[in-house]
Amino acid sequence: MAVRKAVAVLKGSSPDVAGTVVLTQENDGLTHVHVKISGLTPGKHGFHVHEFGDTTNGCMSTGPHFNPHGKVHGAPDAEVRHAGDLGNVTAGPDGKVEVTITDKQIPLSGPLSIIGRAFVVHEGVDDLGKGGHELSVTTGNAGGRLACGVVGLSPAL
Amino acid sequence: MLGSERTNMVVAEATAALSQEGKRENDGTPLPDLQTEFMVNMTCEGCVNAVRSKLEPLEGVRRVDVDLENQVVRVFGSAPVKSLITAIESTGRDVRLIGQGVPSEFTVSAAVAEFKGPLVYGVVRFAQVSMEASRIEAYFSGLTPGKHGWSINMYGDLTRGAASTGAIYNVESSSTEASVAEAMGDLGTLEAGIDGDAEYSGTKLGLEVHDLIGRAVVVYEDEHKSKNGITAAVIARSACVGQNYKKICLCDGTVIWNSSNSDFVKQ
Repeated sequence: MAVRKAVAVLKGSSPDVAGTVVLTQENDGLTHVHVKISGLTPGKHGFHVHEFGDTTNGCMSTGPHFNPHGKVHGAPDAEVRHAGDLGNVTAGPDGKVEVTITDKQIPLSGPLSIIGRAFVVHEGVDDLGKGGHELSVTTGNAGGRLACGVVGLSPAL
Repeated sequence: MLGSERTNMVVAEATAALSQEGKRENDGTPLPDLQTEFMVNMTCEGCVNAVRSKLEPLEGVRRVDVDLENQVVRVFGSAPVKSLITAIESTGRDVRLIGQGVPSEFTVSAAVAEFKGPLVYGVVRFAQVSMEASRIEAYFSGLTPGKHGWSINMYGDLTRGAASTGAIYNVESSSTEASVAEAMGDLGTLEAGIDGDAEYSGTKLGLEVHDLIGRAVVVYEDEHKSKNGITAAVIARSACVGQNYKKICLCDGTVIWNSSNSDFVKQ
């Protein structure tokens, strides 16, 4: 049984917002995404995988949400969504998040692999495409970036 | 000494060192051609002509295509990125590199590793230029003056910085003699000037960009790589030519001319 592993270290402009995302996938099964972030404002924050891991020009060079199937933005459990739409993570009153997300659209190998792409955590809430704002169907209207990190390979288990 | 002269010396020295080893094809021959795509703040035909007139005379520039509507300039040739950017900036316009590669040849042809400090800053770009070779261009600042080993390491795991990036990357079951003598990921030595800057440009045979995605570039304190690296960055996917014309970040309204690697929202 092959278990693939990857990790992204999240950093923002201030040292306050920081975290790690540890990913594991058994064979071609679901990908488990263990998210640990601190320094957030309490509440929900949009959490996405972007097409490129290139942050040299900030949000521009990371491209759009990873969307290999050409769909519109949606909730992680919706039929129609970008592969990179992981919804929101929710910070507690202490500004910390620790949660495991399980998803089938973000493999760690093959042509649709998210290795080398970027995780971005946003300032605001991802409305999951239902906010009625003009940005709802593209970005979930989640506001600016708080932190991001490139998905790197980890030693396989 | 002028910065550019020093740069040339560093590159020349690096080139000489490489050809001595005889394992990398970098014996003073020009870099291989590829397309580099920039977004340039042009608004009229006059701007187009100004940009062209600065780029076309540069050594190593074969062709310049301009798409005014999208504000995109595509340069085909071997000239280093830095000289292209300097030439475009000399027209007084903003410029951002948005893509690199050999169009429609490879599914993954461009990658970038970015060092974000707090001590060492730098950008390393990889581009697949043929089935056999990849081009590497690197710019660093904040290094201690002198020689520093650098390499591509197996893992892009930065949870413990360079210490968690594993061994130097090598190609499995390769039958070439070069890989026996030296790991594919060994990039040799960077030489930082007294200002802490270092540059490298070269070509590496056998290096395949798609297999580097998610690994790390590591820079070491000394040239022998005797201790763990001092800094590391994950090798990320970057846009190839024609793949990313994003000009405004819808999430926060930042436009490309104001963008940087640190345009985060402060809480």
